Amino acid sequence: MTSEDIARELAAEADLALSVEALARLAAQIGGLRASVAKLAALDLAEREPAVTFTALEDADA
Amino acid sequence: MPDTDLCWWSATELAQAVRRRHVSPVEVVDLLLRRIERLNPRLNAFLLVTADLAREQAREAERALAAGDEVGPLHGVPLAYKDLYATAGIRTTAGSLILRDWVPSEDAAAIARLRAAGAICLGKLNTVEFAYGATGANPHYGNCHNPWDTARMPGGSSSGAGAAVSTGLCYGALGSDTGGSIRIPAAFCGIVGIKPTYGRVSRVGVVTLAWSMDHVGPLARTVADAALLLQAIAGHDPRDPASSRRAVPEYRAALDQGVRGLRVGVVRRHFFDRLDPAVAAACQHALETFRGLGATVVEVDIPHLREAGPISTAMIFAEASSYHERWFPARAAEYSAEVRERLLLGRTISALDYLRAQRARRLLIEEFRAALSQADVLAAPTVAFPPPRFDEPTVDVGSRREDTALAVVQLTRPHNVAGLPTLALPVGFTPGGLPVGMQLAGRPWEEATVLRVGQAYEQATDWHRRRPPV
Repeated sequence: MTSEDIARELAAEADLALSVEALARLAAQIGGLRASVAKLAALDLAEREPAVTFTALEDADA
Repeated sequence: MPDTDLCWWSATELAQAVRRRHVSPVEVVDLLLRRIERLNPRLNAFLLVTADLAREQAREAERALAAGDEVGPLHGVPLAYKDLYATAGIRTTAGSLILRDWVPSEDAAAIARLRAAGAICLGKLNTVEFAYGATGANPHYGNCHNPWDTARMPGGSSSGAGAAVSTGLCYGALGSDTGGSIRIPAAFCGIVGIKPTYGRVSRVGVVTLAWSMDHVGPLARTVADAALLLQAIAGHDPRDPASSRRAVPEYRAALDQGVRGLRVGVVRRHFFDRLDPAVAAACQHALETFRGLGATVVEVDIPHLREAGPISTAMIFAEASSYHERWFPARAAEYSAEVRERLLLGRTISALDYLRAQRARRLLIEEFRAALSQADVLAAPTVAFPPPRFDEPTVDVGSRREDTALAVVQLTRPHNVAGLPTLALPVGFTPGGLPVGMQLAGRPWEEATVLRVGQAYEQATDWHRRRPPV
């Protein structure tokens, strides 16, 4: 699915009539967000459980 | 003797003078209300001034002193609160149209604690809509303006707090910080702000942006004032599931112990990659000041520091969109275009993305912990550039143009991801007279250490004594 497809789908789901420019901007933002989040896929996280910050800090300090 | 002009006294000085009955809280409140009336039209720092309430609380404060009652540490000190904090019987908008008619029945926990300590409420301060942004823009209630140059951003989302404290409209304020929203306005407005350890101050009654990243804390004109305010609001609250049961130390006890023997860590990666020359020079000078005061400046590393950006983005976007499901998309038309767009974007974060970000967050917490085993605090610029103008959608960061809204949070987000106590304080000015800030991050629960290091710096410099021209 392209960023443009996702943008159109999101707008429809939210019942928003976005202008062509607004849709294009949203699509560009989706592309940027996907690229940003994808960077985390490159990390070696095999042994790491999800952090729950507070617990993690308590544990770290214990 | 403190500054002759009462509005520039520190909260610490004022509290002492009120307690000794050298100053009347009624006169102080009247002075500030006149000042707000004169300056707020230019700044738009206050969204609501609670003049009658402030006068009533000031009279009560005076009566208590006359009766010889025992009074709290902030007795008679006028403060103001980001309009993200619920205030009993007082409209609380979160800078939004969605909550334009919300009148909470209870005060936020932090405000209730300040009231119990004797503080007076002057009113509610401008905020970015739902705290979702860091420039200080608000299309619903008008932008808040930077008192050092009103064409420029004050930083956000605690924009009104930065502008009001910096201009002597109140003696301190409460803000909130999910990606830098206390520290950025502190840096852009030339004042002090502290984001405490996640879990140190109750979030109850503060409108959520992202549960796992939201921190609440004070903005003030001096480090001692930040310590005074933090002392009043810190501590366990069983209603906040993230609230810590750890005892709260006496923050001011260690404040004047200096930095001799302490290690100030510097992570060059990310924090010092690309800086405006004036920011780089001010931070370098601050590090030399620490050396001169007897601290050791040590280089440390956090290998995955740059990943704080994507981690923060995934966490905040997903959590904010989840929180706003109660109103969005049903009332999408009542949001600004920017917030609406972010709430749509958050709906594209998958469960896998979110969990990957949480796992990477653990990695970053471990790396911060390792760095803080080699240093007592980590020093970094708060923002890489001075406050931009509102008409600058992009900004020069080093040699590259970047989107202003994204660039402004680049150096502050890592500390939200790691949940560390982080103090922002002024460390200089650009040749054009705009403030430059630095942030000092400490180990979890070691607010006392970052305050102590900040205090040593502040005592050796006079940046905190400069007043904006407005």
